[in-house]
Amino acid sequence: MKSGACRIRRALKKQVERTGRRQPTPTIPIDVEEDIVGAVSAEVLQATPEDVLFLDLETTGLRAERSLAAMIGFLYRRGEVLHLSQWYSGDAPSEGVQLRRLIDIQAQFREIVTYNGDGFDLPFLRQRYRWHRLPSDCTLISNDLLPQIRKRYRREWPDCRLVTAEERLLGLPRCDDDVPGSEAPLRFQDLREGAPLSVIEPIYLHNRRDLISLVGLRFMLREGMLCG
Amino acid sequence: MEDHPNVPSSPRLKAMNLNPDSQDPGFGSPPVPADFSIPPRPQANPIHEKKGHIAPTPLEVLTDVESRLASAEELVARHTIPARPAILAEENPGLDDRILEHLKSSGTWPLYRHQARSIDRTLAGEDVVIASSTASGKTLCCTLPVIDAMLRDPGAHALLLYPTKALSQDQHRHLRGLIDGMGLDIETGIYDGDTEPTMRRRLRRSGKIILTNPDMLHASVLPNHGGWGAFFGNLRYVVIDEVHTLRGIFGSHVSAVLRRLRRICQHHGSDPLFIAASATIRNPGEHVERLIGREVTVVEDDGSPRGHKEVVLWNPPVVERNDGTLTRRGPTSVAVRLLPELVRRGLRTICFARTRNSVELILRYIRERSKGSTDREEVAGMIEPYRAGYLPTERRRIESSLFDGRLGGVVSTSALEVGIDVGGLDGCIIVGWPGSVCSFMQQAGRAGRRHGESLVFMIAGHDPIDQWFVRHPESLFGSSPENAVIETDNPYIVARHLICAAYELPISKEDTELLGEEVIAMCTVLQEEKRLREAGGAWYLAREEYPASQVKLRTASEENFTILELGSETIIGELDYVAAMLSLYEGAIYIHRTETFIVEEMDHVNCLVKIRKTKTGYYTQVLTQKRVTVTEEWSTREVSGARARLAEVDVRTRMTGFKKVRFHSTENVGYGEVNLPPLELDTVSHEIALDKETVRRSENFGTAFLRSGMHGVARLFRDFLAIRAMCDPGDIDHYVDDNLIHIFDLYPGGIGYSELGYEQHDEILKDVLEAVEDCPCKAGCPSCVLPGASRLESSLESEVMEYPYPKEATRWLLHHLLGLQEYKPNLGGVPAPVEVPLDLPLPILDERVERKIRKVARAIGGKGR
Ligand SMILES: [Zn+2]
Repeated sequence: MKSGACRIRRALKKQVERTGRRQPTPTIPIDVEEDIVGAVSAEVLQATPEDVLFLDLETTGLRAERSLAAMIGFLYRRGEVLHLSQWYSGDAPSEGVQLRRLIDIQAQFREIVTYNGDGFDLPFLRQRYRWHRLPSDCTLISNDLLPQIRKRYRREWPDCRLVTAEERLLGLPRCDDDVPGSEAPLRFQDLREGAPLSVIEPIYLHNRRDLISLVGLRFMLREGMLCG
Repeated sequence: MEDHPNVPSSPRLKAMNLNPDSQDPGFGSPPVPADFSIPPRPQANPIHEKKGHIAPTPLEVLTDVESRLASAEELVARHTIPARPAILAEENPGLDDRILEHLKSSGTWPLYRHQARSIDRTLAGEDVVIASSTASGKTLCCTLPVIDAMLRDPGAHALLLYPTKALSQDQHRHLRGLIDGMGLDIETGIYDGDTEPTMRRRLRRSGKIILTNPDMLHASVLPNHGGWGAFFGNLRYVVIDEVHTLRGIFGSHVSAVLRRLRRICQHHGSDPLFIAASATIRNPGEHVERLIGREVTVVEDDGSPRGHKEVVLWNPPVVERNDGTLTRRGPTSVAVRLLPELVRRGLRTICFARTRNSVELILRYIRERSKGSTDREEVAGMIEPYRAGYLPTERRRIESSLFDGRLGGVVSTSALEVGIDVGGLDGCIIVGWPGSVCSFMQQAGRAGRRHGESLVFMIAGHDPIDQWFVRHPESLFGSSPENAVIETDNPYIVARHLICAAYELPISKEDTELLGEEVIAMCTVLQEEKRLREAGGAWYLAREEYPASQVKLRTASEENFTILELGSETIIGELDYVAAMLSLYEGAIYIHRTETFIVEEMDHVNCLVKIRKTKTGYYTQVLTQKRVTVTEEWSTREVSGARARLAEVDVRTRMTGFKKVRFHSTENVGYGEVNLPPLELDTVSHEIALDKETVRRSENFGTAFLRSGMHGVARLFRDFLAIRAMCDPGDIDHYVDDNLIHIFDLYPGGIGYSELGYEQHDEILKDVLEAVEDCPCKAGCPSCVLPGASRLESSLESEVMEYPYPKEATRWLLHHLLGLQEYKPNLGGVPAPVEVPLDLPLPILDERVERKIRKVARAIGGKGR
């Protein structure tokens, strides 16, 4: 007669009748799965083991306790192609789903390659895992390229951002339509507030390019081709 | 540590050099009606307060006041609480040496026995509640283990919860004094609504001891726990002060907040111990266990010393009205004479009134009566109001003036009752039964010092409960009969906090331990209602929102109205939604700081009330109509003469208009219209459906007879249920329609009061019959079956109001409901008064205001006989 759940239902119904139900925020699942051919040379491709995972996050903010890993982008070699995944999360529940999927993916790899991952992406992910009350210990060997680049070029380059490394080492100037990563939070916000999907398209492109660059940079660092 | 050097007579008072030989003794001025008998002044007044004279002791003042202000029949009881020496600890707890050194050098050594025991249990790793009297040194029981933890582990943190902002201010001063006195470097701070953003950031980052209130913990700290990682990860102690005030609706909410707190601590890897401090109640252990959801150790034997205290129970005189009927004068009429008198004699006095309006009115009458005499005006000028509706700066100014003696007296609602340290005052006047023995002791405890005397006056009102305590004064001074009650299953409360919890961390199966077995079932319901969303076995908010901002712990409604004074364009206060709807409407009179304002405009969109200062001779009272519909029956059983039923109900209250009531005479001087949507309340009700036989038998005496009896029973049932449920009668409402008496909780979802009424139906009716038969009146009066000054009913049909023999009708019905031999009513003789009694007006709707704002359900214990 006095079941709490039953009473809550009635209580809520009454409230809803009075106040009118508000629409929940829509969530758009927009995940990318793509096999990329020819983005890197055959030599680079062959030198990239299949158990290496390249990862780059786009977040809704810098502080993990109040931001989402809105896009989890990662790349790995599968035979003759690079497989790209870009998983979008518009809210906490979908982020939870994506993080769970990522646990299964990670299990297949040995090494994780990032650019400033030790400083940002990996701790951010760890915190998000903790918030979702999911196991947060990542067993992959972290290979953060930023410190290695910084060690060699700190004195020569104006900065060691990934864009700079791409330009100077890979000879890849960014296209005009590229947006800086720092714009991502605003664009994700716009999308959640009803802007068309096109507002985050540039972020997909930006993330994709970053990941491909990581493959090239890792190769060059490993092969010792960066004699300074 | 609550002890302060007492100021026997403030410097300003002395400087005033009041002339005691003037012909006018300071009372008996025109506003006092002639029939209020004033005994002649004694020939030689022993209390001369000329320059150079020694100020009289409180007991000397008492002797004089008694002989001059009261007749013998008014002083129904006088009780001495004798001075008591300290009981000191035989063994001292294992605190860090630096703490012990400090206690020794600062004269706080040795500890009292109860302090030592409490600290010892805390250090042994137990959750502890310490229940002892006001000013018994409970604070040290809470703070010493905290400081000890900081000394042993510099990374340790502690959270100190106080029910009010004012109390955290005061306790922070004490704490800083202690820490600085030991020469320690521990970062502490108050984190509440008044804290500046830069200070907030600093405390989040590096604060070791945070003082706050449950509301702030709920609305700001827990939802942002990510920014408090270091704090929650190393939280060693949670201190809850004045834990007995966390009862009723507020306590029920706080229990949910504390479960959220424990969940967040667990997440960050800590499991803090709780230290709770309570006034003396009967069930401190049970209460705190329900509140925090864990077993606790109770420490009760109060070893603190206390000074001599005289408690006087004062029942105002019965006077004859114009129509020849008798009525008891209201308690405020005594207070407006007594307070200035005590202040004039140099006794720093606090006067507690039950409602915000009566505070304002007492002040207003004191001012009015002082006109024409410089001395009296000066005394009146040293008396100020203090109530919860004031803005913080206004409150602090009054507190500090009273503290340093610039003020001689304050008139307060119960806002000052809890904890706020104004030092040992000399006198306390309690105007009308404060709602519970616990409140009574707390208010009385505001007066008193460790050494020397203090006075407490309890002036009874008309209400049956006031009169009951006047007839049973022994129940005030025995062991506490009172229980603090909270409801941890109210679905409105649980559901709201579940949504808040989901914002903080997704809810999963591991939460059943802290949030209850039913948590997953509840989440499923909340998902169906699109508030939560399940993903991968965890429940998340279904939309982007900040749910804590929509959940208020002390009010049933979630919006406040701001009161704006036109002309000066200043904001003079705030009221919650329901209270505002019932007391503020276009044309309503709002009383603030002894001045009257008329409501010019209600801006419902912006929740703004625009008022303008005006002079009126009346106040306003809303008229309402109710409709009670049963939505689901929980349980039912036959009782004698009726069927009792416990049910969920919808109560719809429509405001049909308002009436204007003249000050002093309470004469009705006009009506106005109110155009507002009805208020809806979904709650739990104890229903008494009279059976056909009872109704048929009553028909011999006419229809008004039965309805009058039903109203009498309903009114008294509510009052005596409140005693057993240990809450304010105003937390329960009643309504009569057809052959049904409804007794329901005034909170959405119910707090458990009417369930108790259903369970204890017969016992309560026995109390009611006793009260009716004990009452000395003949046909019925506000101390028994009639609506009293503090429980005016706005919706009574005139046939019931005018029915001449309500007491007989009520007695007849009670006999039926108790299965006693049929009572033969005596329907002849002098009829009962039709109007409400002579009194300063205490409109019931303003009591609701008070209640909604403070949400501290009051408690009164068992019968104690
Ligand atoms: Zn009576």
